[in-house]
Amino acid sequence: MKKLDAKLFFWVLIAINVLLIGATLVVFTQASSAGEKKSQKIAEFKANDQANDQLISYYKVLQSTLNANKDIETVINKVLPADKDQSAALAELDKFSKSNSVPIQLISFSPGTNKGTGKTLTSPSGVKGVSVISVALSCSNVTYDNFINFLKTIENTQRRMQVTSLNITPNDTNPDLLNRVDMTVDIYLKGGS
Amino acid sequence: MINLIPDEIRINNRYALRNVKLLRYTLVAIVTMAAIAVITGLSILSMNRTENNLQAQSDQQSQKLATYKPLEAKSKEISDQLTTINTLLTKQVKFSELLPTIAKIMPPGAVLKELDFSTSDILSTTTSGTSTSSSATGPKPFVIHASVKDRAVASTLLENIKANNNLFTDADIVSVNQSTTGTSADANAQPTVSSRYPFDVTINAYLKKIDPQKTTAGTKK
Repeated sequence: MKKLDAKLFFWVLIAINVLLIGATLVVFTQASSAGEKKSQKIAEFKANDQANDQLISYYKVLQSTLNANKDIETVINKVLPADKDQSAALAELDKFSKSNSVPIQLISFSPGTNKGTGKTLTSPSGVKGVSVISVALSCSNVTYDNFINFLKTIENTQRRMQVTSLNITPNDTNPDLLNRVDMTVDIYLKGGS
Repeated sequence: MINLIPDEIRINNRYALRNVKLLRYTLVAIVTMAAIAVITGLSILSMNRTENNLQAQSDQQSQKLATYKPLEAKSKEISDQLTTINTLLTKQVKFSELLPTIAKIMPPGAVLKELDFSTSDILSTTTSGTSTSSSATGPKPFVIHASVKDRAVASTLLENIKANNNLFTDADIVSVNQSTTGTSADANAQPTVSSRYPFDVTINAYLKKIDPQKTTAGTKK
């Protein structure tokens, strides 16, 4: 075995130093890269947290707004009921006719087309999310003023109704009297196309 | 002075001096590397702790957000329904206001014989919402059947309709017929519309279309 003299030891030390410098550079690069990755992840989390915080604050505002306007849902359900509830519609029309002295001879509900003829009385309205029950009404010997009031009541009632067609035949001798009135009223419901 | 030390020892001494320096460098390099490793290790540990905390916070927030999801769905449903109601209200045609307006255009000496109209006469079905001329695209006319005392009243009625540009875009007389019925031999009989208003006039009137989409867009602005 060769004796480790000073010259040989010098070269060994040179090699060790080169290796150490290399290793230091490698450690530094690795540490820097690992640190960068971690800091990126942390930055992402922080941004996420901030966005979530903002969302939560929006939701809190939304919740308080909804709580403050709880009655709006009730009103919406009255304006656009989910159920066709013909009995309620019939009762309402009857009430309007009595309160305005407009005697209705005929109330007929038209069958719809969207769920099979005859199975349902609703049909698409042309407005998204709404169906209609079409009701044909016929009345005779109505005074003009009473009829106008009847129309106003239908137009201003909370449940959404729209007179879609109107045929009026005035009296031959008294123009203030309407011999016959045929009209179609669309009663809107929630749902449908 | 003459250096009598043998060459081998002299060279060894020189390398020994260099080795001392190199040993110091080696020590410095080891310390530096260790320092970097320690600092990096501590930093990564701290970052891990921060990351875990943030992860936990994020999980909590996600859970909280999940509880708000039904609220979002509910508010969307309410918003959709309000939009629908708004659309319906925008599209609403008030016949109770329309009838008196039409009655007002009747001049003295004219009465309506029959009135027949529907919302489709008034609501625009086109998306462009342009008010169309009566003859250009041929919209469905709103037919007015009236009885008038004489032909002059028929022309006044036509002018009244044309002048009412809030409601009508145009109007054309289709016919003016002198009614032969209604003349009663009985002097005590109550005068009928036909006897008092012997001329039947038919007018094609073109109602101004309401474009709900345009109205909605206008209100949004």
